Amino acid sequence: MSDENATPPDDQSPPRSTVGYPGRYADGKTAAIHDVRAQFGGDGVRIMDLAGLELAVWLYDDIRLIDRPVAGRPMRMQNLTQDMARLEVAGQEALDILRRLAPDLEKTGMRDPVQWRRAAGWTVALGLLFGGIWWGLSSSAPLIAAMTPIEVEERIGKSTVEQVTLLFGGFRSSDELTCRRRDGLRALNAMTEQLTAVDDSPYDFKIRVLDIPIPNAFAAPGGYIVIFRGLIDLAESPDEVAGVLAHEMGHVTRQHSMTHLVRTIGFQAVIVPLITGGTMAADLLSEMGQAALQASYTRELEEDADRVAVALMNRAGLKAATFTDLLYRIEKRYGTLPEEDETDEAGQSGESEHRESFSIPDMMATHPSTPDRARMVRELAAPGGVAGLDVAQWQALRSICDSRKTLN
Amino acid sequence: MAETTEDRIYFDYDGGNLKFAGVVLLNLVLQVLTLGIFRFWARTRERRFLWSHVSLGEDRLEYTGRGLELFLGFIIAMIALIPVVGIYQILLLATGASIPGQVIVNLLYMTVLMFLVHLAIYRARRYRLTRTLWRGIRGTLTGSPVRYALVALAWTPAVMFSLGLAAPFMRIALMNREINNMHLGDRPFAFDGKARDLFAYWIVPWLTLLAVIAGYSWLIYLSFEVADAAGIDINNPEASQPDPETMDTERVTDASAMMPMASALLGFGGLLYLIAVAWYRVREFRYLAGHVSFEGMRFSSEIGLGRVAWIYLSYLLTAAVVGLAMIVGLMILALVANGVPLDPDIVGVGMGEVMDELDEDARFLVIFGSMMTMAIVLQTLSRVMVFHRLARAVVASLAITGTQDFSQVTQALDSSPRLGEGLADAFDLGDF
Repeated sequence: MSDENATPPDDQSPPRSTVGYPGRYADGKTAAIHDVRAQFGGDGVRIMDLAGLELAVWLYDDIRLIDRPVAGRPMRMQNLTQDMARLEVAGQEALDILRRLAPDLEKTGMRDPVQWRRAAGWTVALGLLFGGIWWGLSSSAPLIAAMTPIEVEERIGKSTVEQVTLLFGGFRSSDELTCRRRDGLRALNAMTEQLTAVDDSPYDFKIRVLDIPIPNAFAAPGGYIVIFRGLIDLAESPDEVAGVLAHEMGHVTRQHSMTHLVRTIGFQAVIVPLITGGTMAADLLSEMGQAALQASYTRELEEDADRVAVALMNRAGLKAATFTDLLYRIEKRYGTLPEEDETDEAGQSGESEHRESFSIPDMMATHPSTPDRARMVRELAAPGGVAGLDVAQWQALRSICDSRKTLN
Repeated sequence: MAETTEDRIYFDYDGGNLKFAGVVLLNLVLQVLTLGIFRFWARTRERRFLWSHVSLGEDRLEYTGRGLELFLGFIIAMIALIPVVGIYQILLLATGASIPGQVIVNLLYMTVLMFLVHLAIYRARRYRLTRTLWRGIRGTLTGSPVRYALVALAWTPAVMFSLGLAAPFMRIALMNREINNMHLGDRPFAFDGKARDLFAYWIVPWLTLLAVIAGYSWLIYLSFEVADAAGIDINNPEASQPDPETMDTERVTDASAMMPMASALLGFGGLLYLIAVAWYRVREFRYLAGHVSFEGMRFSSEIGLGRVAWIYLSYLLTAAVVGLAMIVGLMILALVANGVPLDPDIVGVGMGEVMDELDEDARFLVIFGSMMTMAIVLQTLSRVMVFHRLARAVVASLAITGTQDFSQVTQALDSSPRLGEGLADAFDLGDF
């Protein structure tokens, strides 16, 4: 439908330059400005130049305002069928007439219901996209972790151990901090063998005790398990240490560290850039959301590791029911549970210090609450069971760091 | 028929601060509610407002971009970036704990990022220009973004190794590509600035910084030397026991006076440097604007240092007052909400004591809510008081001189990008 055909045939008034409202017209082809008169005809605005020549006819249905009308400022209009032609007409009277004749005049941006429908559509699409990415990441992460060659895992694990040690151990290497008292190592080996004997894990566990006073332990990819001296100091019986060891072995066997690493990298690469970079306030909120989501994952992994730990101890004939007593003791001493293991790259481990003074809502906690863990462990644990180490061995394990007490 | 006017016409900006604050505030709230995804639409809303208040002669600019274009461009850029980040992560893992390996991988990564950032800058510029209309004619930017990024990459080592001295040369090289490829319709803009002219301005802040650093180092060196001669351990002057017989009391006085002198020099010199940089920025803008021309018409800017300094100073003052008022207000609010009676004695207690009165959940909400509110208010304040006022000052300072004839300017053939700034958003570059 061309503009010429739209001219009403019954429009009798001959085009005269003095009729209509004064305006400025740019045809979208050159930057020349034509001083024009806008005449409101039957179904369109006729744009006449001062010599009375008709430059264009804009159908009312196609006309949209460009800006919100402001008093004392000429209104700018465009024609939806013509990409860049622009018409400017001054005066409140012209605006009033046009509003009456062109019902869609101000249907632009969010004042257009179509825009709202489109926005709703996009919101749904985005929600599905996010959900899809999230689901894809979380379900593919264990698969990717399972496909990772053990040598690669070991490489990552080794550097993770070094980084975490640097952070917690006052910038000393793990070699420097490793406790090597011989009878202590023998006791540790005995404990490890009780558990590995009943375990079908493909991993070769590399277990060491570091002379760091914080009650903490962590597993890294490739079978690395590190226990800090502070944890053994707080333990009151060998089965508590065995429980922690079995828990960390659970993390290793179920490839939690790798899974978590893959998830985190995927998460950082895909979701974080999308929802940050807007404003400080929005970033703050999205950071909280991320932390909560991440925490929900680690809670799931912790529960899984606890389950594996109890199963291992049951099979090894060790007393599993009460190893969570150690967690209560840590909580009592520190006000709340510090990070007890570290499944991620070193970056997040520094947070444990905050927890001593500031408690976090359950939703944000990286571990299930201690009562919940204790309840589950008690339910799953086989009745009875032995402590695993004899008194002499336990004594030896407790003094494994004695030859080098550097930190206090 | 060609409308020709002799002489000078001014650019004008007539957007009100309060109106703009309304746009910014709504944008921020919507961004918070959408976890930041609204930012593409927010930027579009803001640009629509800004553009529509800029006029040259009788005609206003118009921004025709859409939030959706920016959003889709961003998604595509993110997908394109995944392999880059992925390869970087893999290389980093492959080098293991080897320090030189990590340095090389990181240098390589920085180079690639730097290249991409400049690519993004150019592409974002092109997007903005093609979405800018004046008298119904669109701007365009021809030329290759890759070439632009390569020019930037080639100049970077020179700027780094000259400790920034070569910066004007890089600036001019990039301006050459930016302006000479810029068009309104089919007619090009031209840039004829010279690096040595800019260099004459740049040397002022550069030498100021050098003098401050040199003076500070010299005073520190002297104080160590004097203290050493007097037998004092400068790290622990109380504990050292210089022999009173041989001690030169005059030199010791000198040594103790030198440290505060050095600090004073650093403070005063730092301020001087800031002023010198601001002065340079103003000079630079006027110089660059003055060397842009279009169809025989020349641009010029008369922006002054006083105006710019006032914008920043008044903002800092306001932000301090508003920030303080909000903290006090939130403290009172927290107390009232928790049923603690307001009595005059409580004025002057620390935030910590107020927080002690609250239970854990309320404390969390208060901390989080107040952080949120303060972030939104302060960001609105800076956007309006700095960005908007600066934009207004800059636009209003511009004029063009010469015989004006725009009737020859015709619409360029369609070469505008379909999607938005993509990479620039991925790098969080697009400021306006």
